Formats: sequence, structure tokens, C-alpha cells
Amino acid sequence: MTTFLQHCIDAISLGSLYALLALGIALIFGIMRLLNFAHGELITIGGYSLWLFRDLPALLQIAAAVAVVVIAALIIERIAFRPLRGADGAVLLVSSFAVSFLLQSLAIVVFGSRAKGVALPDWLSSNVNVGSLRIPVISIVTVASAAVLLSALGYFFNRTPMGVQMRAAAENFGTARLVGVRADSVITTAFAISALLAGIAGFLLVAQGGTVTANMGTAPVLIAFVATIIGGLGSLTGAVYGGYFLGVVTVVLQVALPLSLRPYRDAFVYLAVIFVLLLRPQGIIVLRTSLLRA
Amino acid sequence: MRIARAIWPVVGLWVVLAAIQIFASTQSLVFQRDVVDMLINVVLVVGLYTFAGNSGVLSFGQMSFMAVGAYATAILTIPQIQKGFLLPDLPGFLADAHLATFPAAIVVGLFTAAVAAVIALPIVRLAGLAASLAMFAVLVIVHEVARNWDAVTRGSRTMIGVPTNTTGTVALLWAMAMIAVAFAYQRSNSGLRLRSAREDEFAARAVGVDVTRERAIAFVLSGFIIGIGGFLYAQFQGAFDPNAFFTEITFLTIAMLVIGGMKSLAGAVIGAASVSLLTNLFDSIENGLDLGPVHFGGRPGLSALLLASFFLAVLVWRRQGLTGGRELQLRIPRRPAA
Repeated sequence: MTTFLQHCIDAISLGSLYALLALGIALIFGIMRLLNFAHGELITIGGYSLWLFRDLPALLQIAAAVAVVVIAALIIERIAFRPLRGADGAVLLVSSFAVSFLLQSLAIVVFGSRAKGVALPDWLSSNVNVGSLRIPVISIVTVASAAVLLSALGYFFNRTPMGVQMRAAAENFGTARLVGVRADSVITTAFAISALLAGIAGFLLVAQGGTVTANMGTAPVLIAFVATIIGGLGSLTGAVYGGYFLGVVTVVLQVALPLSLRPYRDAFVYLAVIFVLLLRPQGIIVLRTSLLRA
Repeated sequence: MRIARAIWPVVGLWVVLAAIQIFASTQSLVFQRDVVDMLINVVLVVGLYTFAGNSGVLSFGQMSFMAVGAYATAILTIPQIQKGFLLPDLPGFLADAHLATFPAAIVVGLFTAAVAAVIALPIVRLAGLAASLAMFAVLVIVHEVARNWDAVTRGSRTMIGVPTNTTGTVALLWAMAMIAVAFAYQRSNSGLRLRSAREDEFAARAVGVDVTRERAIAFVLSGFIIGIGGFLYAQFQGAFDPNAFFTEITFLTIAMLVIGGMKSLAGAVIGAASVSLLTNLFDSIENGLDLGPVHFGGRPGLSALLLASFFLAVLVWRRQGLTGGRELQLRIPRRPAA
């Protein structure tokens, strides 16, 4: 029973992290039809900012790092994506590769290729004991920040004029513009929110791993892509569910796969992705409105 | 004259590549290797173009076929005795297999095409982005298998001892041949039908184009060409590990294609050639440069930084790529009328 609960905690905490990343990617994809490979580098920017602001008090340090990520995202949008608006999907994609590549190499040029250790308060890496259960504080922080951010965004998307405009733009950008939604402000806000999510996710990843490297964002973003596919590309709610679903699947495969097959774990996950794309291209969880329309 | 004009898109590219190779043969060994590297990239990008350029469906996983080609090359061309040490658990018929260089290349190409045919069955049914992402999943699966199938691929250890027969001339001849194959395909009925579906899928279907079938044909041909690219790569490097065929080469080849212009063969070749040569130039800058009185220190990561800036600059200023998606054209001034 205890091990089962332990695994549940792992799954929810991992899923929360994936959900934050997947939502950031789905938001940009829904509005711009851009699969943003540079999302991972926003995480990296967050990580290095935490390192740069290491002398500030913890909360200020985190807030400053997230602010840097948001500003960076807005600059990236202005330089690399705005001039290409309306271009072919492949062009946008390669542009986001180029940004990701550029930021990674910039990080190596500036900070070197060795990992940088980031000291965060000790209580973050401690455990809370509940009966025989040992809950890492970072898991609680992860789940709690995901819950707060997701509910705040839920409120934003459903109750505020800007949020409603963004959902309209994600549904059909052309029609939304016809009825007076302003393209620039919607896209800028989308990048800001996406960066906020990436910044928080960057903090959570650094708090778990303790170090920052130039390519730390690549692997989580690939997983988040998978989560957005499972949730149905372009669907915001779907992306969140996809993230949690993938967290559960990863933990289940880790526990249940026979030892000889465990090295192939990722191969199985991606095989499942192919099946999802073939059988349920609209995502495993079909929602009332599908946002994937040309 | 009409014939010259019709085959110029191929001959023009041949002339450019041959000129670079002939120039290289008078230069340093380092530059000669850079040019072989460039010619291999040309083969890979032409292979990618054969599917992605003609169908309009970008594939994130075409380099899986480079992996298949390279590992098949290792198994077919490493001398048997050495293979006994390197791959002691190889199944018997593979342990005994050995082919001379040219037949090996053909077998590797055909084998890769067969693998592509199997993968094509599900993939070509998907549209647009879903197909691109499914191919990425294929790439990850091939990578994981290569990393863990110790008996055949040596797992994550480096595969060594592949005979290095890819010289500049060999690479040039293969690149020229693959350019001709790709051009013949895009001018064939099947190629034209696929290109019509790229421009307007619904209209093409309405006039009776079987888009799925044409995509599958292009996909298999693309597998063949990239398999040859894997063969050349394996026989050029002599040693490689699974990471050589993963995200880095995938992103690089896609960038080459888009930078050159995704919709034309000239775009594929010129994109691959220019980005390869620039990469080598940037690498030498990263290692430090002596420009007469000025010494430039160099710094790790600089090369990638310059390359990425170049990509962004090209995309922002010429979003259709360097060639704008056009083929080379022969412009001969008309003789003034008598």
C-alpha cells in the first residue's frame, strides 16, 4: 500500500511538471501553428537566471528568474517569430530550431559546457513523513504550483476578456481577427504566459536536479510534445490531461516493465504515440471542442 | 537546345559539386575531408527532399534510415574475422555475410528501402504535422533499438572497423547519381502527381490522384537515397555510435533543406552544400583564427552560435529559402532573328 501511494505521488508530481510544459507548448501551437522547439531553452534561461540571482533571497530569486524568462520570450517572439508570421509551418519550425540552437550555443559560450550547481534553500530537498510515507517537499511544491497556475489560467481563459479572445484565436485565428481580436496583443500574451509556465517549470527542474546545463530543456520539451499530441494538438485542456496521463504512464512503465525490457522504455512510449496518432489523431481524451482545425 | 534546357537542373548541380570537389583536390587534406562531408550531406538532404520536398510533409525521422544504412554497411563490409571480435553474438548468416564495396552499397540501399516500405504503411496515412511527429517517434524508437541491441549494433558502444572507402570521388559520383535519381522521380508521372497533391491535396484527390500511394513511393525512394547516405557516412567515418543518427543530424538536415528552399532539388543541394561549408568555416573560427596581424581567440559554442544566426537571418529575409524553391535554369540569349 505504501509503495503504491509512493508511486502515485511520483506520478502526480511528474504529471504536474509535464502538464505545465505541455500547456505552454499547446498555447503557442493553438494560436500560431508553431511547434515551439525553443520552449526548452526558456527552461534553460530560467535555470541560468536562478544561478545568476543566487545571492538574492529565495522567493525574490525565483521571481526574478521567471521575469527574465518572460522578457526573453517576448524578445524571441519579436525577433524570430513576428517577421515570419503567416509563413509555412516548416519555416516557423526551422526558425524555432534555430532559436533553440542559438540559445544553447549562447549558453555554452557564456557559461561554458559544464553544469552549474544552483543552491536553493535546504527545505526544498527535504522530506515530509506522513506515517510510513516519505513525501519529498519538492513533489508537494510541484503539485501545488501546478494546481495554482492551472486554476489561475482556467479563470483567466474563461472569465477575462483577454482570455476569451485568446481561446477564440486558438480556435480560429482568422475569424477571431475579423471580429476584432488584436493579433499582436494575443500573441504577445500567449508568449508571456507560455514563458511564465516555462520559468516555473525551470525552477522545479532545477530544484529536483540541483544543476543547470545548456541542454537541460531539450528532453523535458520532447516529452511535453508527446503530451500535447496525446491530448490532441492545439487543445489547451487536452494538453494538461495529456501531461498528467504521461506522468502516470511513465511511472507505470518504470514499475511494471520487466527488467530486460526497461532500457526500451522510451521506445514503448513513442510506439504508443504512433498508435495514438494513427487511431485517435484528435487525442486520447476527446473534448467538446477540438481546436485542431486548419 | 530543348534537351539541354530540360536536363540543366541536374547538370548544373553536377557542375557545381564537381567544381567544388576538383578545387578541393588541390587543397589541404582537412578541406578535402570537409568536402566529402558536404557531399554526404548532399545525399542525405536530397533523400529528405525526395519525400519532404515533393510531398510537402516534413519528416522529423528520415535520419532513422541513415542509421539503418550505416549499421547495415558495418555488418556487410567489416571483414569477417574482425566482426567475430566486435559482434560475437551476431546471428550466423549475418556473421558470414560479406560483400565488396559497390554491391554492398546497393544491398544497403535496397534493404533500407525495404525498411522504409514497412514504416511507410502507417505513416503515409497520416496528414501533415501528425506524420512529421509520427516520424519523430520512429526516430526515437530506432535510436533506442540501436542503443540497446548489443548483438547487432554494439549497443551504445562505438561501432568500429568499417573499411573507409568513401573518397572524394566516390562521394561525388554517388551524390551525382542520387541527384539524377531524385530529379528523374520528380519529373516522373508519380512525382508530378505527388507534387500536385502538395500544392492542393483536395484538388489532387478530386482529379483521381491516390495521394497515399504516391507518398509511399516517394517515402521508399527517400529511404533508398538516405540509406546510401548512411553507407557513405559509415565508410567515410569508419566508426560511429547511435548518437550520430539522432536529433542533431535530423535538425541539421531539415535546416539545410529549408534554408536552401524546400520545394526544389536545387534548394536541397545548395542548402546542404552551403550550410556544410559554412559549418566548417565556423568550426575553424571557433578553434581560433589567425588573420594576419589580428588573432581571434575562439571559444567553444561559437560555431553553433554563428550557424544558428545564419539560419535565422536567411529565414527572416528569404522565407522561401536561398533558391526560393526554383530549379536552376539555363538562360541562353536567343539568337537575334535574321
